Parts: sequence; C-alpha cells; structure tokens
Amino acid sequence: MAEATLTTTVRPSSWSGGRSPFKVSWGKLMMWYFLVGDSFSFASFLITYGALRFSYESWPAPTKVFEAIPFFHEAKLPLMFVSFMTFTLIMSSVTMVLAVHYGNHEMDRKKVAKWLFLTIIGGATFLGSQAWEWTHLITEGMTISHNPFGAPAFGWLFFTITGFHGFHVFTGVSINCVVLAKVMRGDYDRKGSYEMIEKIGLYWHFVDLVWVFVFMAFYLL
Amino acid sequence: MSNEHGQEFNMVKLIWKTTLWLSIITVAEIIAAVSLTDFFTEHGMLMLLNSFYIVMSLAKAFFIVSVFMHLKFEIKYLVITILVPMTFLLFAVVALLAEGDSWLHMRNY
Repeated sequence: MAEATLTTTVRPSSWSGGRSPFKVSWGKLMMWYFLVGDSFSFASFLITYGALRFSYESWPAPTKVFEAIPFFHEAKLPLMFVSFMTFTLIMSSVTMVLAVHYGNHEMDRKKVAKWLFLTIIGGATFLGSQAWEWTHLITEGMTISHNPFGAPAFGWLFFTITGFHGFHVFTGVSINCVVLAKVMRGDYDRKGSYEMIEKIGLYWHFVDLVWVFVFMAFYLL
Repeated sequence: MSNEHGQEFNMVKLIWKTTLWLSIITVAEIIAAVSLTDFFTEHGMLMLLNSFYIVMSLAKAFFIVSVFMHLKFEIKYLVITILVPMTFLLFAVVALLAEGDSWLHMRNY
C-alpha cells in the first residue's frame, strides 16, 4: 500500500472541532441564547407599550399614580416604593454575582450558600412588594380593562408587563431555591464545578436587567 | 472557568464599584423624576429629560451585562453574537413609535 503523506501546517482554529469555539460550556451558551430570545419577548411588550402610549394625547403621570407606600396609608411619596423595589432587585443581583464569584474562584460551599440565600431573600422581597403594589392599584380601581387615572390601556399594559416580569422573578427564585438545596447538599463539590450557579446567575441578572427597562418605561418616562 | 484574570485584578472590588455606579445612576434618575417632572412640561425639555432616563438606563444595562453577567471577559465573537441581534430592536423601537404617532393622528379625525 502506497503511503502518501501530506504534511501541511494547519493552524488550529477554534472551529476545528473538539472544543467550544467561544470557550464556554454548551449550558452557559444556551442560557445566553435563551436570554437573547427572552429579551425579544420583553422588548416586544415594551415596544407595544411605546406604540400605544404614543397614540394617546395624554397619559397618566407616574409621579401621581405611584405615590403610595405600605403601612402609612395617608403618605404621598411619589416613586419611593418602586425605588425600594428597584434597589432590592439590584442588591439581589449583587449578592448573586458574589455567589457566582465564590463558586467559581474559591469553590467555597458555605460562602456560595450564604450569598445565594441572600439573593433568594431579595427576590422574594421584590415579589412580595410587587404583590402589594398590585393589590393597592387594584383597590384603587385600576384593572386590565379599566383605569381611573386616564387611558385604559395603561392598566392593561402595566399588569401584563409587570406580571410577565414578576413571573420571571418567581421562576428565578424557585430555581435559586432548588440550586441552594443542591449547594448545601454538596452536589457541586462532588461534581467539581460550580458553573450551575453562574448559569442561573445569568438568568437572575437578566431579570434585573429587564426591570431596569420596565422601571424606566412605566415609572420614569 | 475559561476567562483569565490578571494577578493584580480584584473581581470583588470591581463588583462593589459597579454596584456603587448602579446605585448612583438609579438615585439620579429617581431624583430627576420626582423633582423635575412638574417643571419640565415644555416639549423640548421633556424630550431632554426622557433622553436622560434612556441614556442612564442604557448605562445601567451596560454595567449589568458586562460586569455582572461577565460578558466583558468573554471571547469577542461570543459578545458579537449576543449584542448584534439586540441592535435590531432599535429598528423596531423607531418603527413602532412612528406607528403610534400615526395612530394618534388617525384618532383625531
């Protein structure tokens, strides 16, 4: 058998196969692309909000609609409660980053558990606050079909968009609880990698990111 | 973990620095909204105020995506595959705001 050897120097390309071209695991990559798709879902809702709002002569002023706070029924503090909610979600994002950091860099089970637990508390606080806000507005007569503050579409858009976002926070908190249980059980020490924390961390930051834009659209603009 | 951090680089410090920036920007937005909304009623001033909110929110988004979601440490091409599709949304925003405006004029017949 004739042996013909062809020697060429092939520069190993990241696309030659056998390894990830972007140097990330498939799980992390798929989470990123899921988030790109999900951001299109949220974007379509928020853009619809923009289009409908532009079609109205007048629109309820956020500083007048959102001025109640829990426990102090007569207080009028425009945007204070939503500011509390925004900071809660931002801080829960910070605790999540720290959980990811200690998982990846130190594989410290106790630290990861602590920061992940604080993230869950932050998320749950946000959900409870959102529930209070909804209850308050519904009591004032705002529903998905009726709005005492002005344009009826305001109520529909507000409840749909914050509801969709709140659903994401809820699933995020639920997944965080499951992963916390696994962290405490030592599953990721056994596995040798805390990358799952990073993956759910991406989802959690996405939830915070969407809130940045929901907050802007409904409470600032 | 596939990203490289230099010896002198302190991730925890960067996290807290980013947190500080996010907090400062949020506080600035809230102060602006609460104090300026009743005074900036003229159309041009209102556009300025809204532009401020939009730019600030994009800055917050940039901090969250690049530092918290770690994207600034990832391979450049991965960053491109994620950010380029998002720019398409700009077309949608412009088109649909124009659409809403035309609905407004349709309503006024």
